[in-house]
Amino acid sequence: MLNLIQFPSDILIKMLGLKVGSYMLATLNVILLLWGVFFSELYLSFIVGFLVFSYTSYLITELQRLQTSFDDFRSKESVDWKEIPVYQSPLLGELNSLFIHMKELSRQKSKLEERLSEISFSSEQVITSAAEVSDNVDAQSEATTSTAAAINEMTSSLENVATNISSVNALACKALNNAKTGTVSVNTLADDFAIVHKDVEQTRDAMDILGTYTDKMFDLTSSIQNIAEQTNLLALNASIEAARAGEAGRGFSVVADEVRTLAADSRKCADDINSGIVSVNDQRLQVINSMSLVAEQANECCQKALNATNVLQDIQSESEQVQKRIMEISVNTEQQAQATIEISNNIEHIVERATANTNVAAETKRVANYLRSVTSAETQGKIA
Amino acid sequence: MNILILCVLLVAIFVSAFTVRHKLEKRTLKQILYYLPMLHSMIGQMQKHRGLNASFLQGKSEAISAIKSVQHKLEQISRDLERFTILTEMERWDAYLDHWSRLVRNHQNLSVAESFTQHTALIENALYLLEDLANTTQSLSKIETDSNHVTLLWRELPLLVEFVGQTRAIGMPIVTKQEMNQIDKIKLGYLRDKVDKTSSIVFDALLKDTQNSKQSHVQLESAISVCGGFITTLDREFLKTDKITLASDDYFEIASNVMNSINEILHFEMDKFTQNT
Repeated sequence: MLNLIQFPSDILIKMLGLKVGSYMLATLNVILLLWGVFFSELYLSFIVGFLVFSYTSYLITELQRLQTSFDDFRSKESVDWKEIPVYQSPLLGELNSLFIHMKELSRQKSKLEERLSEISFSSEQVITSAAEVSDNVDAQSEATTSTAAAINEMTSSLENVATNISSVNALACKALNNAKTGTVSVNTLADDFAIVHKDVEQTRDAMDILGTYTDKMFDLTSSIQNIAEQTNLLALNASIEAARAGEAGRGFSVVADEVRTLAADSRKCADDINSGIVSVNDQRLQVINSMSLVAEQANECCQKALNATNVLQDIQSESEQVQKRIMEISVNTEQQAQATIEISNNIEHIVERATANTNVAAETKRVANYLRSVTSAETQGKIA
Repeated sequence: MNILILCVLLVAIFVSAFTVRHKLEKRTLKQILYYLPMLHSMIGQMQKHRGLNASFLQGKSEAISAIKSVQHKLEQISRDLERFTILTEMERWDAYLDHWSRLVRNHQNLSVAESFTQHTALIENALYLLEDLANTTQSLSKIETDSNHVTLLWRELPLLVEFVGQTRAIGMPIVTKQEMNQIDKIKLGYLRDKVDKTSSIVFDALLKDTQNSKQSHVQLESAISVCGGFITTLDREFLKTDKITLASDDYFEIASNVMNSINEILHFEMDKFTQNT
C-alpha cells in the first residue's frame, strides 16, 4: 500500500534524481493546482494532495532507511566507506559534504589500521630480534663465565710461576756466587801453578849447577886416580929399588908396599867416588827430566786454570744475565698476575652487564609483545 | 480534453528532463572513462619518479636525465587532466598540484626517507583520486556492476601495484649501496607480506571471475608468475641474506615487470568496462 502511495515520487526521483525529481513534483503540483483553479476541476486538488502525501511519505521512508543503514554501518567492526548507504539512498547522494567527510573518515581509519598493522609487524620483528639478543647474551654470559674461571686458574698458576721464579732466582744468585768463588779459586790455582813452574825452573837450574859440580868431581876423582896410579908406579919403583938394595931396602920395600896398597886404596876410593858421582849424575838427569815434565804439566795446568777462569767468568756473566732475565720475568709475571686480576674483575662486570642485558632483552620482548597485543586485530576492532 | 493536454504536457516535461539528464550522465561517463587511464598512467609515472629519485639520492647521478623526462611526462599529463572539470573540482586534485609543485622543487635536496614519504603520500592521494573518479562511473553507469569487482579493479589492483612500487623504491637505495639496515629489512618484510597477501586476494578473485576471457587468463597467469618470482627474489636477495649482491638495474627491471604485468590486467579490465558502457 505504502509502495503504491510512494510510487510517483519514487519513479520521479529515481529517474531524475532527488533535486530535479523534487522540482518536477513541485512544478507538477503547481500546474495541477492552477489547472484545477482555472478550469474548476476540484479532483485535481485531490491529486495534488496525494502527490504531496506521496512525496512526504517517500522522504520519511528514505530517512528511516538511511537511519537503519547508518545503524548497520555503525554496528559493523570492519567497515568500508563503500558500504556507506549513499548508493542505496538518493537522499544521502545530495548530502555530498557529509558523504565525503564519512569517506575520508573511513580512509583515515584504513590508514590507521595500515599503520597499526605495520607497527604490529615491526613489533614481531623486534620480538624476534630481542629473542636473538637474549640468546646471544646468554651464550656470551656462559662464555664469559668460563673465561672468568679460566682466568682465575691462570691467576693461580701465575702465583705458582712467581714462587718458582723466586726459587730459580735464588738458585741463579747462588750459581753466580759459586762462579765468582770458583773464578777466585782457579785464579789462585793458576798462581800456585806459576809458582810451581818457577820453583821447577829454579830446581832445574840448581840441577844444572849440580851437573857442573859433578863434572868437577869427575875431574877431581880422575886427578886422584892419576895420583894413585903415579903413587903405585912410584911405590913399584921404590920396591924395585928396595929389592936392589937388599936388606937395606927391606924396610923401604915394606913402606913401598904400604904406599902401593895406599895408592890402590886411593884408586879404589876414587873409583867408588866416581861411580857414586855417575849415579848422582844419572839421578840428576832423571830429576831434570822429571822436572821438565813437572814444568810442562804445571804450565798446562796453569793454562787450563786460565781457561777455566775464562769459562767461569763466562758462567758468571751468563748467570748475571740469567738473573737479570729472571728479575724481568718476575716483574712481568707480577704485572701479568695483576692484569689477570683486573681482567677477572672486568669479566665479572661483563657477566653482570650481560645478565642486565638479558633482562633488558626480555623486557624489550615483553614491551614488543604488549605493542603487538595493542595493535592486534581485536584491539583494532575495538577502535573501530 | 483539457486533462489530456495536461497529461501530454507533463509527459513531455518528464521525458525531456530525463533525456537531458541521461545525456549529461553519458557525457560525464565518457569523459571519466577517457581521463581515468590518463590518471592511472600519471600514478605510474609518479611511482617511476619515486624509484628513480631513490636511486639518484643514493649517488646515481645519471638517473637525473630519466627523472627530468618523467617530470616532463607528468606535467604533460597534468595539463591534459586540467581540462577535466570533474577532476579539477575535487579537493584532492588541488592538494596533488600543490604537493607536486613543492616536491619537484625540492626533490634533489631531500633525504632518501623523506623522498620516499613525500612520494608515497603524493601517490596515495592520487590513488584516492583514481578511486573516487572510478566510483563515479559506478553511479553513472547503467550496467549492473558488482561493487566488489569495482573495488578490486580500482582499489586493490592499483594498491597492489603501489605496494610493489614501494618495495621497488625502498629496495633501490639498498641495491645501489649494496647494504641494508634493520629498518629497511623490516619495511621490506612488511611490504613483502602486503604484496603476498594482496596479490593472493586479487588474483584469486580475478581467477574466480567467470567473465574473464582467455586473454585475461593468460595475463593473469603471467602476473601470478612474475609476482611469485618477485616475492622469491625479495626473500632470497634481501630478507634471508645479509649480503646484497643483486644489481640495481636488475632489481628495477624485476619490480617494474611485476608492476607492468598487473597494470596490463587493469588496462584490459578498463577496456572491457569501457566497451560494455
